[in-house]
Amino acid sequence: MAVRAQFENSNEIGVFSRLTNSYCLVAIGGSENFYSVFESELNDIIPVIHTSIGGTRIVGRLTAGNKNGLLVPNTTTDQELQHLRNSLPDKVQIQRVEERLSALGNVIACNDYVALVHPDIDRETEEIIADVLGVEVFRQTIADNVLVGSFCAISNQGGIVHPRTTIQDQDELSSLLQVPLVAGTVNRGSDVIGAGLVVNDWCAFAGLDTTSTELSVVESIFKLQEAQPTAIVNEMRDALVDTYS
Amino acid sequence: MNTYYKAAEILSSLLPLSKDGDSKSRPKSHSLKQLVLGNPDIESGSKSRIYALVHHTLARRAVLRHVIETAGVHETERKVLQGNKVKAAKKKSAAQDGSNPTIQTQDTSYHLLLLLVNDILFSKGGIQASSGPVKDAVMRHGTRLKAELVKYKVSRGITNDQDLEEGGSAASRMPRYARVNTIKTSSEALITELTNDSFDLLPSPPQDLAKPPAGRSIPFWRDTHLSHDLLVFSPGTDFHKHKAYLDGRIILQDKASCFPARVAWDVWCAMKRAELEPNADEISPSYAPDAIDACAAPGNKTSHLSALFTEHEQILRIGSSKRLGKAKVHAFDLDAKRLATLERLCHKAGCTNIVATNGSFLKVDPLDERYKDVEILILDPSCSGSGIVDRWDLDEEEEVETESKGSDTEMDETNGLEKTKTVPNAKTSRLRALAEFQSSVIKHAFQFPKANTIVYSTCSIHAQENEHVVREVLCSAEAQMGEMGSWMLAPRSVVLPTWPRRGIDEEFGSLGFEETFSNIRGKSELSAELDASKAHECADALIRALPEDHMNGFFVSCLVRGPAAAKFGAIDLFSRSGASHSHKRTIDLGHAGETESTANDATATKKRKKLSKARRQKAKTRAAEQDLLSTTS
Repeated sequence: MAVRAQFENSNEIGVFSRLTNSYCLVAIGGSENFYSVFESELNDIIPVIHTSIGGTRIVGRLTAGNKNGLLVPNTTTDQELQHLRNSLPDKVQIQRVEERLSALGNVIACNDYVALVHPDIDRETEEIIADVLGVEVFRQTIADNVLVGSFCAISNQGGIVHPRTTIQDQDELSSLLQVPLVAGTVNRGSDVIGAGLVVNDWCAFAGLDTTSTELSVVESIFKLQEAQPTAIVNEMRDALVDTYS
Repeated sequence: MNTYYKAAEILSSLLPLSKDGDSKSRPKSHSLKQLVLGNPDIESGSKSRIYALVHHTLARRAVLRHVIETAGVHETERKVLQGNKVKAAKKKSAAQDGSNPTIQTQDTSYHLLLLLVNDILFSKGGIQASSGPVKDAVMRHGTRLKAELVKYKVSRGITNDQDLEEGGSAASRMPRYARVNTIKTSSEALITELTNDSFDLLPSPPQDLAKPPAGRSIPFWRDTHLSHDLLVFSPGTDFHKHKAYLDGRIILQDKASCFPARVAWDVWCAMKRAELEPNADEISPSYAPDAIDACAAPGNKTSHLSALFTEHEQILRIGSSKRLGKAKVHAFDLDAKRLATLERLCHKAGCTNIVATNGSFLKVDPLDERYKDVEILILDPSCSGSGIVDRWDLDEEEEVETESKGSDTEMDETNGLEKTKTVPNAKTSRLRALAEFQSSVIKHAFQFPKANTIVYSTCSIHAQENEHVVREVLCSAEAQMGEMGSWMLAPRSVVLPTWPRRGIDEEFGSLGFEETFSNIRGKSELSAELDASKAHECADALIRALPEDHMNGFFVSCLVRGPAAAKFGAIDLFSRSGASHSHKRTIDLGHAGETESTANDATATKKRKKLSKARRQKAKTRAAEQDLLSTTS
């Protein structure tokens, strides 16, 4: 299910939230509107945690995580760390990373198995990513942008990358990630996918400006539609072709 | 960690790195087996482990180097890797109390890294050593290394780790060849036994030799070209505990190495038949001759030939003949150890007619009483081995050294043009040296008085060692001497005519061989380029095999001489209009050589003397040959 949302008049909801398969972080804001959109979709399944990171609200850009773990930058205060520790499920590891590139959300894009990272990230950070998140780590760029976390959104089902990513790059990324990829936009033509969209294996939240075409691309690449006729066509296509050819 | 240090030392002597710049100092002749299994410094318990480690690292060296380079591990951790090595070396020399004053100053850190990275990426348990600074240093890069490996595989579309190994995949896709030892059993008897024992005989070879139809039983079939005694099994069939293998009824031998003995025997028989009765194909020769296997070890070819003789004699035994059971195969090899292997294997195969001698074939006196009945010679001299599938041409990676050989200078004097030729690099000069040796072996074989069939084979795919050598020896003065006439090429009709891949026309016809042999004496008219049809006819008489044919790369040629040779259509290089008119030869090697040398007054008179001597001998030979021919016709 893909839902539109807005954070205090901003469509860049990826900046203010971090969504994974086992938890969701949202920024502490003036109104509870934003929070309640997430809460209504996720409440019974995974914890939705109000937090700030280093006193800022841009939790989505500063953190990186998946179902196995959460990485926070060194600006995170002890109090915030304690709060996160208390709120996150027990099996989720949390780790503060001493990394020069401290906007971890911008430099790391990951699903539960693979992480794409900024080419200049520290060797130690790379090891931490592999250990805490339990992923294979690839130094990559997306459409020649080093901020891989900003220009793509990936889940275990699929991914959307920067609209100017070449087919060749898409193929390479797709074979590293082992999921299908599509080049696309969110928020009515914005190429900062990571900022406009948060996604996990069963739901996605996009900025309020996102057009229905964009939303339908999101739903199809992340396989979010349930029991729609196209599902039958997709899954049975080969058999049908064989039968009627 | 000690295992890794030892393995690194071995690896460094096998795989010189161009950036070290000291590749000259390494001993060239050592193989991995010699270095590991024959190394007294390594306790026997860890030998197999070190062997496997180095073997796999070598096989994967391309991917390992790529991964290390892109991850930049060596630059970052050089100090740790080197530091420890120096410490270890110091420790070692301290332990030996200065008895070994030359501490290895060679930097083996890169080799150590190759080994460690190999284990991180491909070994199940990772690095098999307790943690220490070196292991920690490399482990720090584990994630990056793994990522680079995945990227490497993705970019090359490789899904299987095995495909990263050089030659590994090719070797595993090769069918298993097994030769039936006809001394102990017959093909039919063995096939019946195998079909009763979980094997399944296919009536014809499967479409894809590498992938025969899978079933519960292991498929096998008779080889199409060597159907008499060669069976083919699906790749990876394990025989090392099979009863038939243990008692020597089958011999595991690549198809390629079954060619020489078969060719030698076929050609010899064809020649005897032609001698007896020109049109009778059914008559079999009344005896088996003596034979020599010049570079015999490990003896598969020797025992094959011996089996063919024994089989023939068994057939003859039904009638009666004066020479029964006397045919001997003389086997020579330089290496005593390898000769011992030969004796062991031949004993296992039940060969009773082999006389093994340790020593150089080149030092054997052809006129010795023992070899007076030798008619067949099988020559398989050392070669570059470039055709062997499960082996790596490490030398090709060596930095190209610009050295000119001594033999080149002689050439320079006689012909100023030669100077401008490309400076040979290490590889071509090695090939040249091998070609010289190979040609000298053949020329030595020419001198056996009764020899009439010589099979020359290599497991190389380089024309320098194959077509060029054959062309050179056929053009040489030695080939023209002797009482039985000059040596000729046995034509395709007798040399496994059904085998499709033959010699390369251009390599045989062109003057390429003159580049390989820089010291050809007296250039003659004869060494002119052959016209296309002649070149094709000659090349067609040669056998080549490539790994694509599901066997090792290989080359076989057969040279014959004697009055019968012309009858069955042997190809004479020097007759312009085909083999049938060989006796009308008008071109004289010595004469042509002389005109050449008079034109070049700068050449020493020594050469002229040599040539005139050759000419005298030549004239004698020709007279003798004319006599022979007139008597036979």
